[in-house]
Amino acid sequence: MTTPQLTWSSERTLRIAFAENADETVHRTVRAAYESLRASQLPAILDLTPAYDTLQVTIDPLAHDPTALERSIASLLSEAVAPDHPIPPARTVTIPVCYDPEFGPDLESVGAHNNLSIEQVVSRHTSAEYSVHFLGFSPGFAYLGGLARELWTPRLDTPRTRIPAGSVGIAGSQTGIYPQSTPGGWRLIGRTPLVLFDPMRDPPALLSVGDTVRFQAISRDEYESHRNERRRTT
Amino acid sequence: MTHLRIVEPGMLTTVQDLGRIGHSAIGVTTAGAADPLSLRIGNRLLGNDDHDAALEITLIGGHFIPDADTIVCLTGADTTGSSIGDGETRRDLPAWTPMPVRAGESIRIGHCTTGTRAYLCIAGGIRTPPALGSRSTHIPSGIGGHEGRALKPGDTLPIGEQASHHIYSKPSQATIERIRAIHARRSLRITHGAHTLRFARDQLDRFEQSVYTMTEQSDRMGIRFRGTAITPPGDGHLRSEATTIGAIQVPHAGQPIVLFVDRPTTGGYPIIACIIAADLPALAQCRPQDELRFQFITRHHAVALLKEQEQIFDDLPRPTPIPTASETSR
Repeated sequence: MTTPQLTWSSERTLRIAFAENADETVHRTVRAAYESLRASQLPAILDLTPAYDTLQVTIDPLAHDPTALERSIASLLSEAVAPDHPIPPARTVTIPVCYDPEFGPDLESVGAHNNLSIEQVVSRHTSAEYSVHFLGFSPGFAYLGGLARELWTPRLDTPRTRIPAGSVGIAGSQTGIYPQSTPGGWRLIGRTPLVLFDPMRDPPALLSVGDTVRFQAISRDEYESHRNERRRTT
Repeated sequence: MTHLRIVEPGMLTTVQDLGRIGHSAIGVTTAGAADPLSLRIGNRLLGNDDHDAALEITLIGGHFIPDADTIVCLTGADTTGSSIGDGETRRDLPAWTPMPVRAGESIRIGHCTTGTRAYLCIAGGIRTPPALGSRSTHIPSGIGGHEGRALKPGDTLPIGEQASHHIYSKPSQATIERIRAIHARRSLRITHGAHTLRFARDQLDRFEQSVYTMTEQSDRMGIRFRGTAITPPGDGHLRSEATTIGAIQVPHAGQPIVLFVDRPTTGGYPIIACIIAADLPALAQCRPQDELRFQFITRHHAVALLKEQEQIFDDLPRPTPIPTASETSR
């Protein structure tokens, strides 16, 4: 592992860059750095934003000397990025997905693009393990790594104006779940009855950085009963 | 509980405090007052906490009625014809000045004449339920404020109780002039951003030497400029990484976009520079068609300028309690 590079991306944000690629090694390092700085509880740190191969630290430059803080962070990092440094074990989250054509209007085009039947698309999607590289863009949206090469499909040429919350999609080499109902250009292959994000829940986001995710196919009936159960409990 | 009724909200009025800090790792952005300086000044003059929530009013004011006696303070953009009361008791509501309002009286805010955002601060703050530690409204995700949305006619918001028996004062004219000068600045200071050194030297020079016009396609998420196109490094796409308030991104088309308070937590366009914290209040008060320049300074200078700006708070008068016979110290 090369030494992380620390540069200031404003007078209140320190940018930590790791190696220039997003393989699982760099993901592990970003996560180790994130967990280590989080556990440090340095009062100067207001926020930590992990991504593929960077970690941003937001500070209050009036309350704490930025130069001294940069030194403390660099020294914490030098231990955290060592390959033998322990990190919390990955939690496995199983996400039930109904791959009904109504929820997955692009199942067919994803299959056609890759010469697979719909059943094969579903079995490839449910047989892999994905890791949550980071959450970003919108509340609870997880960037997942690990999509099988034979499912890679380009985005739609024209994005849909409304995608229902819980939709599971594919865009290029990425797969993910829309936590909120938004416009979007991902190819939709199914929908989960789970709520990915609820600001009044603790924790608000279903997924967190470093989780391992598995998708489990459920029937339309199971999807509906899951939804009904949710209605009864909320 | 005391309430504020929204008779007419204006064009875009939301509940904002100093933002939802510390949740970017789950994709939750800060939101918060676009001009935190004006919000904090209003709160200080009322004896509130800096973090108390107020109404952020965009360009066009509205009509609000509290159901109990309170004190309000209007800050931020200059407005025209703002007033308290109805009929014969109607009186001016000057900016930067704590003003008493009686239960049932109208608070009317006019149009912004200079600047874009006015803040109606109220004693005790607006007390909508906090979400993730903040009352700030983030409309794109429907989080915070009043039902996660812009206010509508007929909404009622819980507000804090007025601290009784205080004398409230306004800042000195010199302090008000100083705040106005901060808002009027159109040559914004920038520091290096996440990818500054990946841009070609001549593109950085070109950026610093050009004048950019703010466009109508600007909101709390991003402020878009039109001017000399800048060539971004590579193909204009990078791996997604953290964003910052004031970061200036240059997509493939070459026209800069400043990421603002409602921005997504991560983005994938090259960042040429970042506007310094001390100049963000000016950015918040810019209007479409305003012409801006960007000027690089060092990070240390940026911190020094922020420190200097904070001195405004040392000069602000605070409410002073009037002890009464029936009241013990509070």
